[in-house]
Amino acid sequence: MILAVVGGKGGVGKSTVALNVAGALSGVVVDADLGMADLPTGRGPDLHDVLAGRASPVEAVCEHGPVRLLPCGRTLAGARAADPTALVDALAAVEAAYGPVVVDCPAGMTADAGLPLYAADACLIVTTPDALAIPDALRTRALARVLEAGLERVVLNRARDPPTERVERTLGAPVTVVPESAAVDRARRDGRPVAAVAPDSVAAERFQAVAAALA
Amino acid sequence: MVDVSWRTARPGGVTLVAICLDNRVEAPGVPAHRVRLVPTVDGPVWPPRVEGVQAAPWTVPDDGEDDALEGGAAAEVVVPTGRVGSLGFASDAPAPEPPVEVAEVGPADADEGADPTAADVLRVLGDPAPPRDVVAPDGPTGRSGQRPSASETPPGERR
Repeated sequence: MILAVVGGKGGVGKSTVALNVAGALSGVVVDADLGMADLPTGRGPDLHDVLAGRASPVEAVCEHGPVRLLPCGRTLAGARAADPTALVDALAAVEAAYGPVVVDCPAGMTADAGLPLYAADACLIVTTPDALAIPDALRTRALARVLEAGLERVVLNRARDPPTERVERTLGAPVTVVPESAAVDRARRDGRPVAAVAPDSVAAERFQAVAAALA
Repeated sequence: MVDVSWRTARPGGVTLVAICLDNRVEAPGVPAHRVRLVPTVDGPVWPPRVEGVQAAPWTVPDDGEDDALEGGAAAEVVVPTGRVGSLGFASDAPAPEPPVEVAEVGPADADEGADPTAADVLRVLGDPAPPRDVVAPDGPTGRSGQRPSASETPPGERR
């Protein structure tokens, strides 16, 4: 399964959700934010190298971290040299070698957000329950429909008093609420899933539930 | 039979050819026609590009990656019955009359070419690459309009 984690708006927690869901699925998380990567990086080849034809997708997967990760380069030159359409074959190769692939997509609606949806079988929409993020989530859902990536679930992130039913009705998919949590932030700073830091936390249990619903 | 018409213009020494494929014909049981066009210009054929992606189905038998298609360029267009299709190209050579010849017309499936490709996604949504100005022009991975192919980058070179 190739799962795109999308959201439209930036800063809603796509990378955190992608990392945690990949951890819960024992899969690979691919940092596909070509221009503004934020999952940890390693010393080996990265996604820029893969998309420029300098490395194979499978050799770029870092297996040493708490979650298997295909990191993304940080340079603008690397982002410019990368062929975004090569992502489609790269994700298929990683899936063939490792199983479930979770793609951390960039914000916005340009091709770097669209191509993972094109390659994916399904998507997760991440949104915060505010008036700016929900319209972007709706636009992203429309794009996912055109590109035939079925919307599996909505993660309502950093929600204190979540309008779960309203979001469920608006986006037309089951909602999982992940509450604001210091443990998630702490884990994220170390590039680890929250299950590795606070396995009994509500957030860890919710990410596990998302993964169980997908499997 | 698909009716082919065209318009040409030559602003600034470049020939622009716009071709119209009128398939509003009676063809019971034929959902679409495939038309193969061969340009007659004595020079390169430059396909239109949107976001760096070729936006008209011009191909050349030997080397499809070449920017300018010379010698043996052709286009295959599927036009649904009852509809009008279009495509174009540019060239630095003057356009003869007619600028294209119909090499072949045959029946086709209506949904042929309807599924989007990765290149379609890039063309419609826009290239996310940072603009050329933000990248050092002489950097090893800097590109000037074209992404370097794997063969252009020496093995082992990174950033």
